Amino acid sequence: MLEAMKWEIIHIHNEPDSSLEVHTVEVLVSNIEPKLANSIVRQLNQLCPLDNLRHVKRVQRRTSQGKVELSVILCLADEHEKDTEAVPIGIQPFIRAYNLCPIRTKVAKYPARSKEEWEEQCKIWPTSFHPSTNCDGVATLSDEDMKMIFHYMKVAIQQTKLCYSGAKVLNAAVIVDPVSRKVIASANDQTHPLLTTSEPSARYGCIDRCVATTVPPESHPNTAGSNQDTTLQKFSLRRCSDIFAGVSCLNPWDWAAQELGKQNSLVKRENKFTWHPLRHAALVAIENAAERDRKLFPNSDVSESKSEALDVLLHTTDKCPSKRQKIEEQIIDKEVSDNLKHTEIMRPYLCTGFDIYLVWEPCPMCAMALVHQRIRRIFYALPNPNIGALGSVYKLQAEKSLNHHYSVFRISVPEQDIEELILNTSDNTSQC
Amino acid sequence: MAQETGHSLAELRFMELALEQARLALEKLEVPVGCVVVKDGEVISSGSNHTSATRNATRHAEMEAIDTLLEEWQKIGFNQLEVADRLSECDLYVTCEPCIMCATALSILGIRKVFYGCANDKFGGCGSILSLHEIAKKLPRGALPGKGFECKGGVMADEAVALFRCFYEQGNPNGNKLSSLLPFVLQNLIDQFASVNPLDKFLFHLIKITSTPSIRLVAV
Repeated sequence: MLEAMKWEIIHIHNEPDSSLEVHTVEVLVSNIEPKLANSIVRQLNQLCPLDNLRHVKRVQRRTSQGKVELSVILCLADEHEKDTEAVPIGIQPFIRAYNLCPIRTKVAKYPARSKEEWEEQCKIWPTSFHPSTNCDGVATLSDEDMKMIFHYMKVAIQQTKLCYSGAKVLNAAVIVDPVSRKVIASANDQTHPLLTTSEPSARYGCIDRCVATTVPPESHPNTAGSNQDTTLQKFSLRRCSDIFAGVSCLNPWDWAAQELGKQNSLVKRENKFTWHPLRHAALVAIENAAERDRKLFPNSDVSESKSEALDVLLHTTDKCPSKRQKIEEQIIDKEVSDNLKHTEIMRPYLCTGFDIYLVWEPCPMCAMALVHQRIRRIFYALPNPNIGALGSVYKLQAEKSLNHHYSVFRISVPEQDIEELILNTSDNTSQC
Repeated sequence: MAQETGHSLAELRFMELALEQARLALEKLEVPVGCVVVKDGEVISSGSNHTSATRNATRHAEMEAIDTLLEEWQKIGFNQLEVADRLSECDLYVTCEPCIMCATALSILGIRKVFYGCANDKFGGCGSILSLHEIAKKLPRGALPGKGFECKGGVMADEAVALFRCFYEQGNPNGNKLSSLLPFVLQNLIDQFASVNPLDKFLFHLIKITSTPSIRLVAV
């Protein structure tokens, strides 16, 4: 039945919403003799490589009155230096040797992402432009991929359990290995105390209250809760948005203002906390994935002896000949390959290569946690207008300084599908 | 990011304790960041980075110290309001500027003030990259109150940086056993402290492929 509905994937680009005005960097440039250009550029590439500015061309070429004029980037300018023409000591002899006169100018800090942007950049200093291969976009997803993505989003939505303290909906997170198409870990928010789920009143209390407060009496003749089926059908996402108040990423500060549940009826979770302000679904899922990693790839005796081998190796390389090192290496290689044969899977580095499905767009804490854990792609269904970090309020995927960047997609799910998926969960969790 | 030069004796004393935690992390081959939580002039919790051993890259010093504290308070039987009240009287001393994740977390918890050592220009959440200690200003009208917290950076920053350098250059200053976590430690190190340089990545892969445990290779 779900195949008939229109689900869509929207790629949320990782481009900062800002112009060239903000994203430039200062460099020192100098006019040079065209005859000497080759040798100067070669030497400069060694003396002062422009590592983080590979998109910037080293030489600018202009023609004025039929004469070719070349200027070259010497090095990055020191931002804190007041003297605008101050040159780093390392290249001072070079400057003197070629009798250059350095001046400051600005170049684009980041590679251009569009032809228009590139043309804009070249007005201040020439850059190179490689049309994006669009490898992260939706266009490259196969039908098979889409099916898998929709499937796991359904799994996540079905996990937004209704049964819990105050009986509100929780955010859910599912970490998936897209290669093996297996669930690595999953979790719900654990910011609020969990109540026993056996009492039906606790399970459906939210919907009862919700319908009672938001649906006009005439459209809802039955007493709230008297007939569960009718109550469930009347449940509507739009009208009952207050049931989302318990979603941790939507209201991260809500934990302290929570109605105090009866402490004795609390369900003891498997971990050491009955509630925890920071245990948002994504963070708990990461924890579960890390636990799985530790269990699947423990530091067994093998690796212990390996570590000893490494230790010996490290302490002996100085005085021992390379022969010993070679032997040690062979031992280690064998152990590593044995270990690999044994488990038949490469141990992943954190969550490298894995995707995460979240029903709600994460807050900055969760979004940054997913950067730390090296998640490859994030899929979320509902935006987080309060404090969403992946497009709504912040755009973490566009922060160039971060050491890892994931791709972010929003899956547009028809409202009625979400309602149905959430409601079916409380009756039948085994479905799907 | 507040960069002040004058630090009170108490600030230096607590930061020294945070540095002590960072040194403990270094001994365990973890990224050397440490912190202490202070309430009424007393250290009530402490923590250090624990990302390598747990294989959970979110186990930063701040998260470790907070978990210890919450576990203790829940054992005593404090409810949410009582915990929130106490947290609003707590200050945190951490050797490195809290990252975007931890800065948000500290705001969620409603901590009073954060003192940090060196700035974190890759993913600092208290002014370097984002300003999440002032998150309240960014929230839409009518949203729940995020109080934000005061921040003071540059407290014994040189000592904090020296520890990073120690980790980076020596890797294993106390001659501890190198565990099989070595490649992960290296990746951590390269990701966090080396510039995003293809050569570094190449070096790491080389190490990973050959399993050559020469941490000195990286230092070169």
